Order: sequence, then structure tokens, then C-alpha cells
Amino acid sequence: MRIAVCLKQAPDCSSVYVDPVSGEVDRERFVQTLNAADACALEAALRLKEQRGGSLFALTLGPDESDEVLRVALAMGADTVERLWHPSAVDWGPLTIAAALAARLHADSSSLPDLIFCGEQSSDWASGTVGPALAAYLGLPQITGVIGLEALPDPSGQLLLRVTRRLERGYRERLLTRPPLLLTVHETLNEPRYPSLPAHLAALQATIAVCDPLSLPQFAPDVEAEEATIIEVRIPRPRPHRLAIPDSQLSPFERIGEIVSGGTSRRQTRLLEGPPEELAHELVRFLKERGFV
Amino acid sequence: MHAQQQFDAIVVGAGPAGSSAALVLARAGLRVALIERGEYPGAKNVSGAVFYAPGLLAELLPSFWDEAPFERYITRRVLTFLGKESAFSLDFHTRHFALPPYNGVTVLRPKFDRWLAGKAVEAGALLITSTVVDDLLYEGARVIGVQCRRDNGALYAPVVIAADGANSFLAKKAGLQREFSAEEMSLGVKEVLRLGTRTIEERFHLTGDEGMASEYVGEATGPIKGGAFLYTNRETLSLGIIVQIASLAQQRIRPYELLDRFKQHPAVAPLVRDGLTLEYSAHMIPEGGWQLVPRLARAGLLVAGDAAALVFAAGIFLEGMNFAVASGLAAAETALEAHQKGDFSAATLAGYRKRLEQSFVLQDLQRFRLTPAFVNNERLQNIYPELLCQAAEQVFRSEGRPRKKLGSTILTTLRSKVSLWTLLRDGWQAGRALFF
Ligand SMILES: Cc1cc2nc3c(=O)[nH]c(=O)nc-3n(C[C@H](O)[C@H](O)[C@H](O)COP(=O)(O)OP(=O)(O)OC[C@H]3O[C@@H](n4cnc5c(N)ncnc54)[C@H](O)[C@@H]3O)c2cc1C
Repeated sequence: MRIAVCLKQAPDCSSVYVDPVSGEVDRERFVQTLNAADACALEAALRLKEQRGGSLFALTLGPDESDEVLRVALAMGADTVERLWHPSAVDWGPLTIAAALAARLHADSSSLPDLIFCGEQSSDWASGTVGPALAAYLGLPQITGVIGLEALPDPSGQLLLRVTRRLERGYRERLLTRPPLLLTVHETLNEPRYPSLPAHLAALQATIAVCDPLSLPQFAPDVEAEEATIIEVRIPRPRPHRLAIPDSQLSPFERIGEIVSGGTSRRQTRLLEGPPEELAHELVRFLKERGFV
Repeated sequence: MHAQQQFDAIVVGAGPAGSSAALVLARAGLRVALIERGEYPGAKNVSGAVFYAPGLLAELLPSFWDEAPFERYITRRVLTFLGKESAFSLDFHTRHFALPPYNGVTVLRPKFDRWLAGKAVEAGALLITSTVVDDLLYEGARVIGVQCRRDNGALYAPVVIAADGANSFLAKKAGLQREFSAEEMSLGVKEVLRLGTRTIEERFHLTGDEGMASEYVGEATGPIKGGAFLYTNRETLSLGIIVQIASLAQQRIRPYELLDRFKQHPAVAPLVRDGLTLEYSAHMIPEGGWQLVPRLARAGLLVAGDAAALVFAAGIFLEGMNFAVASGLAAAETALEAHQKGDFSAATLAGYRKRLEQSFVLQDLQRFRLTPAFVNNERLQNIYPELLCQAAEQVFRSEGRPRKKLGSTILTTLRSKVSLWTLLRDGWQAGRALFF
């Protein structure tokens, strides 16, 4: 089985200082490490490789310093590693990055890897986009937000995976799946291993292969195509706590009742009935009225 | 044994001592392993920090002044005696310290240590981070390597330089250092406060890259023996207290409470006003001086920097980084000599001590060997600073009444708390400790 894992160097959150007044990030204080979720992706890939045999290829896109994350991958047990970089890549958004990674994975003479692992989000921008976009570019099915992963015994000898996904509000989803597939992994999936000294030493001294993504046949960056533009970054303010002021016309008893019940007006609900088109119109009108659209 | 695990020299600890040693060894073409427990060099290292005599490194690294990440060069030194509500300062400023080789520069250790270790790596040393050294490996009485806290963690080399910082585990394991007494160790607690470049320059009367190093005694640490410091970086302040561990334990005060108290002193509060705390750290400092310097070598092993207690802590002086660098360099030169001879015996490595005796490292420590005891004198710590402030207050007080001559004003104040005899004796001791 061939497994690929996409890694990213990202700031260690504990080293990030954001000026509370200007909202600016002090870049000089960053300590760059292997993104936490990516380390879990790497560990998960390694465990599968160890169970089932095969090879593990670790890929990153980043400047010189990003060699470090590939060294971590080598020390932990990746068989081959490669770094993609071109100076113009500093401006690339998640979609272009995903396209470059896809082009690199396509470039191998053999077919695509059976399994591709990514971290779900990085500690810096946390767009959570690269993994899904990569799956789209490669035409692979994907499972995001993986917090549990198990290889099940399958009589056919094929790999059968039981995957647990994290959904919102504490919900979980459990899926059975087979490769080929792309998984994005949450940083709680596992505890990445601590490499032995000889492995660590060998990785420190390894030469890291670098590839210019612009030289890849299937890749043409289209920076304009990034549909998301960052307009502003700021620290969210805590939501103001609304105080309900009871109606002074009411009797003290009723006022107390209103205060403890948490508001002066009842929650209003409206139930609409009718043909779907009318309902849709009504809904749009409602949203406009409330300033949502 | 894997060839990969065999080196010509192993340096433990990528602080100023270790990185300087590794730099020299690697430049000479040796295969050097520089082992650091932190994620990167300097990750957890703590100093004030003024790096004095930076020329030591500039000699070795010609690009030093252009490249080294220093914050400001020190042109202003201030010594302040703090009373409860007053302060008496000696304030010295000179343009002579404003030209390379500067007399001292402020540095932020995480940046500086990383940069210096990077120089050793450029020279060819192998930096092994996130790796703790747990023990030394022996063959008979000879040290032949180290044991790291990782699977298959043995590394071998004919010479190991232990530069693992204060309270060195390795120097003790090797039987070179004894256990310390709590009088010989201090705890430094330090904060980095962000003020912004403009505010720093205005508040401390600095222009351009000039900086200030300010030391405090007396009320700075309340009843606890110790002192405080405040140094300017480019846009931040480093300030902290350094207190004797014995005294801290006795008085049962938490060190960060002391630091807070120092920041609230009326003479200090306006200097740190509106500062945003960026970092908070604590570290031990071997302040025992000459008495604490261990045996510095045995077959296959040299000890450098704080690990060998080579810190010049004499009241107004707190110099450790330059001592660390100088001793690291001397250790490396000794290791090189041993390689040339192919002899790593205790006798060859004893050349290390000779080198240090010829340099300021052991000469200063020996010359000022009486200073630690003098500085920790109860009266110097807790009575004289207050008295000095009172005397100054008497001198400057104008009450519409006839004044006495200044000499008698000062003497009366001083003698209100200590006898003339004690005063003379302390004066004599001060002289012995610092002046003659
Ligand atoms: C609050 C404070 C203020 C100070 N102010 C000043 C100042 O203004 N000017 C000045 O010159 N000095 C100052 N000093 C003293 C100065 O910090 C030290 O003397 C200096 O750091 C010594 O350098 P070193 O290389 O010997 O040790 P360190 O800088 O302590 O470096 C030791 C290194 O070894 C690593 N290490 C330790 N054990 C192991 C192990 N088992 N395995 C692997 N790695 C290990 C550590 O992580 C560290 O990187 C101050 C100290 C303190 C605490």
C-alpha cells in the first residue's frame, strides 16, 4: 500500500503573541514546528504502514525552513520526503497550494497513492481547505475531521477502515470505508511518537529533495482564482451580554418573574404553510427584513 | 556501535558556553554533536540579559556586529539604592561605550542563543535539539560519551564538554561538583515588558540604539537577600529580581510576589507603567563565586559556563554569558589540543584550567572571591540602602531652620542604626571585596 501525507510547518501556538491593541502578531517570536494536526496525520499513516506494509511519502510546500518538518517525518519513519517551493508561493492561497500538491502527487509515474493523509487545520490560518481541495483536485473521496481510525480485518484482504469523524456540537459519525481516499485528521487523533536517537540523527543529516512546483506538468497557478480574499483580521470581542430591562408598568411580582425567566418579551415563532416557492419568497423576505442578506 | 553515533567531540547544552565551544571545534574540522534539550537553542534560557564584552565573539565571528541579534548597546549604567519610599541613584553615561566593540549589549536569549548555535551549525556542528542528556558513559574512569533520553540514545566521543547550565547534572554525576548550599544559589525571576521603541527612548533618555542597564539593591527585594535589574531592549524592557534561595526559603515569600513588589516601588512603577508582559521566566544562578568553582575536568570531560559556576556575581556586576563564552572557547581549545596529541587524559585536559587562570574568567572570580559574602551582608542588603536614602533626604531637606554641615548630617543618620565600629568594619570589608 502506498500512503502519502501532506505536512505543513506552522507556528507553535504557545509562542504566538498577538498585540491586544493593534491585533498584530509578533512574527519574531514564532517558533515554527510541525503543525499539531499534521503530526497526528503522520503518526496515523505510520501506524497503518506498520500494520499493513507499504511505503510512506511525506510532502510539504514551504520555504527552506520547512525542511524541518520533513526531517521530523523521516525520523518518525517516512520512507521518502519532498519539499515543493517557489518564491512566488508566499502569495498562494489554500486552493493554489492544494493544486500544487495534487500536481506533485499526479507526477509520479505510477498511480496515485492509496491513501492520503492531511491535518485538518493548521495553527495559523486554520482554513481547513487544503485537504478537501486536494481531494477535489485528485478526484478522490474524502473524510474530514478524523478523530478515530482503525483498520478492520477484512476477509477479502483489502483494507477496510473504520473512521470516526468529529461533527459539530459534540456529534460523532462513524464510517466504514476503503481506499483510495483522502483523510484530514484532527489533532486529538493520537499521540505522535518520539523518534529514537539514531533515527533522529539520520534525519538531521538527510538531504531533502526540493521540487519547483511550477515545473510540474499539471500545475498552473492561478492566484486570481482564489475566491477568498482576506479583508481584515481581528481579535473577536466577547459578545456583549444583553440585560433585560423589565417593563416598569408591571407589578413587582411580574417584574421579578420576568427577570428570572431571562427576558421581557417572549420568543416569537412563526409557522408558515404553503407551496415551496411562496415559502422560499417568504423566507428571503424575512432574512432581508432582519438584515441577514 | 554505529559510526553515526561516534563523534570527535560532544557538547551538551546549546547556551552561550556550548555553542561557542561547538563553533570552535567544528571550525577546526572536528565532527561535533551539539545536544540541546530545548525545541531550539535558547527556548528556555534566561538572562537579564546584558552580554558584556561581546568583542569576545566578534573576534571569532567577523560578521558579528552586522548580524548578531542584539537589542541595544549599553551606554548608561545606573545603580540605585532603594529605600521604602525613596531612591538614591548613581547614574553613569558615556559615549565611549557607543562604539564597537561595545562594552555590553542587551540580547533576548531565545533569539541570541538560536543565532549563535546557528553559527556553530554553519561551521559544521550537528545540532541535535529536543534531546535530553541523562548521563555520561564511561570506560573505566574515562568519559567516552553521553546517554540521551531517546531509544538507542548512546553517543560516543573521546571528549565531552558539559555546558548544561546552572546546577549541572553532568558535573555532579561526574563527581566534579559537590552539592550546593542554598546560600550559594540564587533564583532569578524575570519578565519582558513591551513598551514600544518611542516610550523606551523617551523614558530612559536614550537615542538610537543606546541602551541602559540598571541595578537595584535594598528595598528592591524587601527583606530577602538579592537585587533587581532593569535593562532596555529595542522595544521591550527586561526586568527581574535575583534572590538568594536560602533567604527566600527562610522568609517564605514567593518570588513573583517580590517581583510585583519591585514593580510597584514608587521609583520603579513609573518606569514600567503600561508595560505589557510578554514573557515570564525563572532560572537558577550559581552565585557562590570562587568557592563554588568545581574541578573543571577529568579524563574525557570538560565543564564550562554556568555548569562550572563560572558566574561573576558581585553586587553591581552580574556577568555570566561572557564567562560562559570565554570558558566555552577555552574548553574547545583544550579539546583541540587533546585531539592533536591523541591524548584525552586528565593531565592533558588540565590545560583547560590553566587557560582559564590566564584569562579574566578565573582571575576575576579569584580576585573578587570575598565579594559574594560581602554582598550578602545583612546590613548592606537591608539597612544601608535605606540609610543612604535618609541621609540624602536630610541633605536635601529645606525646612526654614539652620542646617548642620553635611558631614555631620550624614554621620548622624548612619549612626542612628549602626555603630561607628560596625560602619568602619563594613567599610573595610567593602574595600577588601571590591576596591583593593
Ligand atoms: C534572571 C537572570 C539574569 C541574568 N542576567 C545576566 C546578564 O545580564 N548578563 C550576563 O552575562 N549573565 C546574566 N545571567 C547569567 C547567565 O544567564 C548565565 O551565566 C549564562 O546563561 C550561562 O550560559 P551557559 O551556556 O553556561 O548556560 P545556559 O545558558 O543555562 O545554557 C545551558 C543549556 O544547556 C541545556 N541543557 C541543560 N541540561 C541539559 C541536558 N541534560 N541535556 C541537554 N541539554 C541540556 C539547556 O537547555 C541550555 O540551553 C543571568 C541569569 C539569570 C537567571
